[in-house]
Amino acid sequence: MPASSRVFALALAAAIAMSSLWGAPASARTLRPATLRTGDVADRAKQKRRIALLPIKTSPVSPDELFTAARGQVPSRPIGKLLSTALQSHDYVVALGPTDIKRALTRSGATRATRKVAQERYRLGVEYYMSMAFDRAAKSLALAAKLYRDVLQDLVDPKPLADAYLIAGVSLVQAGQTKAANDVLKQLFDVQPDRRFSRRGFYGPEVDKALLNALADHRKSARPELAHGDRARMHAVARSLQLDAIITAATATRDGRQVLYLSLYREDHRAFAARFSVDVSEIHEPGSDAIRAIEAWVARSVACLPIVERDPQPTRRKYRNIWMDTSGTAGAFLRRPTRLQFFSLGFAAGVEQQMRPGLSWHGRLNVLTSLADPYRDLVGSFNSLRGLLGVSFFTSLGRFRLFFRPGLEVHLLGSAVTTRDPDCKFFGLTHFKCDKRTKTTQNFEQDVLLGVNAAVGTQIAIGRDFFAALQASGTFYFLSQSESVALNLPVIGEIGLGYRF
Amino acid sequence: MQRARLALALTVVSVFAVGCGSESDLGGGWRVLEKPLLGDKIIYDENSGEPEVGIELLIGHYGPDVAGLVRFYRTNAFQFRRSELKPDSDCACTFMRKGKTAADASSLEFDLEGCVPGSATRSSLLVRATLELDASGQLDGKLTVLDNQSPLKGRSQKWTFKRVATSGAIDSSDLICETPDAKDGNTFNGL
Repeated sequence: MPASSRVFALALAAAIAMSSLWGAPASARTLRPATLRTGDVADRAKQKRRIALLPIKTSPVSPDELFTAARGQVPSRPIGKLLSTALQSHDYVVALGPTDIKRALTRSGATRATRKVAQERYRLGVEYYMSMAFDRAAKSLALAAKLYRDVLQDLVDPKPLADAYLIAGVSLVQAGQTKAANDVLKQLFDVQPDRRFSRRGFYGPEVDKALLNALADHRKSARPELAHGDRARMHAVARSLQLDAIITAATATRDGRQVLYLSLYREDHRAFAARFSVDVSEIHEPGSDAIRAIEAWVARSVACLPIVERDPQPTRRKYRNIWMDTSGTAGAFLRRPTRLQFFSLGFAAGVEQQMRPGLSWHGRLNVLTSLADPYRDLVGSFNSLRGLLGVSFFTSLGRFRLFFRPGLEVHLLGSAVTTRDPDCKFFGLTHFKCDKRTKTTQNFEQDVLLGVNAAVGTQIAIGRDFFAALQASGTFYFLSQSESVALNLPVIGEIGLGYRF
Repeated sequence: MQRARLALALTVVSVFAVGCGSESDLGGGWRVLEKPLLGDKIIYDENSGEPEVGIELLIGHYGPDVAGLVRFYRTNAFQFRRSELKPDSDCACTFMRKGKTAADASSLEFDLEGCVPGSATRSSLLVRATLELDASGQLDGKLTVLDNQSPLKGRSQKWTFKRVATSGAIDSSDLICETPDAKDGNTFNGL
């Protein structure tokens, strides 16, 4: 290829490279978080979707049974098992049942602390109630209820929250605040719709009446498809448990029949995406159409949930995580053939590419030229080329990116002769007066050294994608073509500038 | 931020500080100023009986070591018209041996083992040179004959040298001082 063609080809390549850098859209130059995608995703990139099945809410108790111990509710366990089995039969799904949810919610130290405060406020409220300070009791219990709701107590065990609402409602009734009492007692049945009381008149006839009114209001206004609250509440649950979707289930009486209501909340849409209802009486027949319908609904819901790709744009992310820098270098060999220290100056250029968080590979080239030692035992100056390859462990602290780089080094020496004979220095190495014995004169010319290198340093962000770099490194040569191990243990400092692509 | 600037400044300063070694104080070319032949005659013009020999020291100074050669000219005014002159035809030059300087480079010492113009023109003589740098930048010193076999043993002659060239000004051609039959530096019958 003619020289002009080569120059043109190089210029074209450089222009393409520059245009790819500067012409890239802004989105390509900033890290984007993982996004939800519905297209084909490689299996290895698929992230399991976390779907929670919240505790099943049973039908509200009937007013006739409110003050009885009798139980005639729909058993929720078979329904839960059915839904859980249907969920777990799908790929890339992590199904969290009520037990998993309870475990996850009680594990957090902050949650435990909040729950403890709520318990204290509850006990204090009960004491106020016992001492007939009803207003204070209501306030303390309202605070307890709020704290319980904040830590999603209704998903762990609804009774403490329901008790707080109950005593708060009773206190408000005793304080004569009938309307407020009705609102609070309604929330009691929202949390625990099958709540019953063993005997009538325990809190007094006014409270019994208030409970019946609240129950009636609840039964009238309750929406079983929102069994655990609206989408804001679901978002709070999803965020707390890091969920992709939530399935709620509740039973309710409609036209004298028990109906199961299922709802699917999608966190990516922050909305309820699917609803389904079926007659409960049909569920308990194995292989029934109702069971198949539930399984189909679950399958449809899961299928429509997007796969979360771990790395939506792997090539661009790799492209982004390249650090290149150039630096000035200064160093010295701790083991040297000269009587006094000589120093070397040069420049280096390096590249580093992130493989995973905190880990990169790196390569570096360093050209060094020596300065004269005080006794000029080093005849002339010698140039050398260092090549380094290794891994880089790094961590970020604000604007600083600290790194440790172990690796291998190959050091190609240029013309390097040292002598302690002044005649060699004055008359030249070829002069007959020059003592060429190895003891006084050593020739490292075109030697190759191989060693292990370690570097520590930092990159300091100084602007968008630009950084300053500081580095100190040392090498131990363990292999040499000839006698050059006499030249060993270089310690080199670098300071430079770089750019992150 | 200030710490970073300070670190940068220290790095730059240290790089330059370690990179700049002190130059040799004694290296270069030195010649006798005049013909101050005080004391015993060692180097002289045998035919005229007058000391009309000029001396040139070409010194390489490397820390505690000194290397170089001594070139002899048969004239008193050679230092001003060197290009027109030729070295002594019988004893042109002699290499320095065992050259050493003081730690502060204020003095140097070396041996000559070869011919010297005068009675030892055609024989080898061991002579020790001991020179000191004076306040005016001149080298003052004496040559002393150490050779046990020589009738000149014990004689010493004082000289004063003035720097006429720096180390960098010495050319490789200035260092030619050898013949195939006399590799110790003596040059018989001219160059």
